[in-house]
Amino acid sequence: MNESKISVRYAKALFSSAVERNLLDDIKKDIDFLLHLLQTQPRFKELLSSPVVKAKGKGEFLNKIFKDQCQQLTMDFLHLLLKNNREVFLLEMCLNFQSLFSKLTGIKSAKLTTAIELDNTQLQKFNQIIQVHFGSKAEVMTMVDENLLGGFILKVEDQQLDASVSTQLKKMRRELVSYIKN
Amino acid sequence: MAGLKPAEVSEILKQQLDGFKTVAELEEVGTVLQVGDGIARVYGLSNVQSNEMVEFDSGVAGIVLNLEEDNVGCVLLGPTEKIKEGDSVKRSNKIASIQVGEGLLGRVINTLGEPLDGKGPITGQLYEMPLERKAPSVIYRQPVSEPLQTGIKAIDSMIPIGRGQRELIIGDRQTGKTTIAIDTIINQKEFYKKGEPVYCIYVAIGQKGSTVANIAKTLLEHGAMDYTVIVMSTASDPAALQFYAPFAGAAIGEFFRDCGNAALIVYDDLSKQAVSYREVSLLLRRPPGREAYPGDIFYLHSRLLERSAKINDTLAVAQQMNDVPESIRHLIKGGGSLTALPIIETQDGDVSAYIPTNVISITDGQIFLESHLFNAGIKPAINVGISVSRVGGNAQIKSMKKVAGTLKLSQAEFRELEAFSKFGSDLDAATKSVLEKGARNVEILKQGSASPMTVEEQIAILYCGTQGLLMDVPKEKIRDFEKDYLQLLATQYSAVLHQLSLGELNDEITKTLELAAKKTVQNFVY
Repeated sequence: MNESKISVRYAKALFSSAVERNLLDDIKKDIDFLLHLLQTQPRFKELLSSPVVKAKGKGEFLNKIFKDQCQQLTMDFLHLLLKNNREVFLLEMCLNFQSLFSKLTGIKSAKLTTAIELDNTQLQKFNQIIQVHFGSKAEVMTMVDENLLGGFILKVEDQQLDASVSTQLKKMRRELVSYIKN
Repeated sequence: MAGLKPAEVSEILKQQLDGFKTVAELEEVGTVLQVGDGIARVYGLSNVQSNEMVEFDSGVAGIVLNLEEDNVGCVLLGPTEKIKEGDSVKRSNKIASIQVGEGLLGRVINTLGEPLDGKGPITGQLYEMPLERKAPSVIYRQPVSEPLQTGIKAIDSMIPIGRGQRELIIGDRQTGKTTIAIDTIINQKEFYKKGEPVYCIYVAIGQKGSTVANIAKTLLEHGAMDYTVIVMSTASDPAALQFYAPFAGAAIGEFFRDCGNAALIVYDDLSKQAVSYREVSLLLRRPPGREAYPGDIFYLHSRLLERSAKINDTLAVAQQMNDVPESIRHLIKGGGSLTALPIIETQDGDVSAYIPTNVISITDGQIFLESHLFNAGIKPAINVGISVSRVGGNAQIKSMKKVAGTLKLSQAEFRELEAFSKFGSDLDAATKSVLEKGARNVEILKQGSASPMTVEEQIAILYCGTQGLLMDVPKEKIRDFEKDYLQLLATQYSAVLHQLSLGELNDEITKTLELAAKKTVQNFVY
């Protein structure tokens, strides 16, 4: 029950001190970087949540990786987490931070997955589509996934527009299977 | 598959492809943060509603149970292994529901309404019914007035059940709880044949697959599957499927109830459902209470059992009923009923444990089964003293009420005297006669499984017992007497039996019964 409260509170604290110190954009970059690491490097997450590694060890590790790249505030935040034994919730905190950021600035975080690399004109078109359909600006993160076969998946916060060939094939398969079963 | 011709297949494919929508729709999605033990925590889905169905990447369905500050907790209705951290989760915009229709009769289905008996898809018109639905409120209800005949002498005479009542069957393991429920279902065949069916739903929760297969076989052998639906979630199904199974059964029962039919639902058993609900609740980190059950375990059972009701028979009133699903609004008729027979298993006869006391207080009475009676050969092993039916008395037919009115009290008195008489052998004549009569009544009330008896036959034999007409027949011969006596009545006095079934009981009828009893008794006196 407490997990969600914990992550919301820590995110709020970090967010408001970032606003106070006028560091919002820099902190946002750090958080995006952390989130990216957490989502793509399972071993990083494993290390953070491991009860075997002592807080001191985790602290030294974080210092080694992030000291040169991150803001002092981010480092302080990470060490505060370690001190309070809340490092397990870092992923949720990052997500909450992002949602606070988009609420304040009106810039939503979007993720665009395509089968092939897009050029600039195409990207701009997507930005327009987002403007029209979601009524706000968005910071688009692009990803290439050949498994889509064609088309794209556009995810803006909680909403998703799935126009990929693989999903349509999946749907088609499901309909045919259910038809044959019946 | 082999039966399909190639042309047919291509034609079907073409049809399907023509009708295929290629437009991408905007959907609401979230991401799995954590998954394990049949539950998932999802980030996002900020507009999702409680009890809504969601779908995971792998096609597994889930139901949203917890809405927290920044995430939602879902129970999974399929294998956990297929879901990975980071998977996307889609909203379905649908409250958890099940497809219900007359095509379900004779089938074995799971909580989601999928057939499990290998007889192909469910046929006929199906209507969508939500699993969780508010019970009909007071004005759409009517007091219990019609009897639900179980075909079991001991129950129909002393603990009568009315249509729309909730009667708990409670007892230790191996005391014949399920047998009573199954016998009751089998007895409804009489009404099915008459064209006034009582549709039956048997919900098996957390039982062995082999047990359910046996039950299905018994029902089939007695021709009871024609009007019965079996909803099953075995012990190996995910906990969520197990604790939603009674709700799926209730949704099916409500369909029959709201269409103006009588229906009977058996929940076998609610103690296992409580255990699976506890499992899910603890995994969702809801605070544990007594015996580690969550705080809303009482509400879980009370809202389920409250859905059994006798609906007002005025059409105009019934049509106004609250929370009717749109899909069946045009089918609503008054006068329907849903009778519930929940089953609770106790440990070592302990009725004061948490779940038994809860369900006892919710239901309109209980049938208490005891293992020492069972072991003494008294089957059904009903403890008459503490079994009650709080509303069923109004539903008994008149002739039964007259004959069996004093039976319960006199049997209780007999039990007391019996215990007392064990101290000494010097008993006065009056006490002796009470003991003799009581012992014979016990014999009369014994009944084999899957051998239901019509209400008129019950009245006829109970009349002999309560009037003390069998004092000359040895105890061991009572069952043989019963057989001969009922045969005599059926062959020579069928008119009297018919009158009894209509609720009549006058001097002429009692005289005939006494005459028939006397005639039969002669064959058993030495």
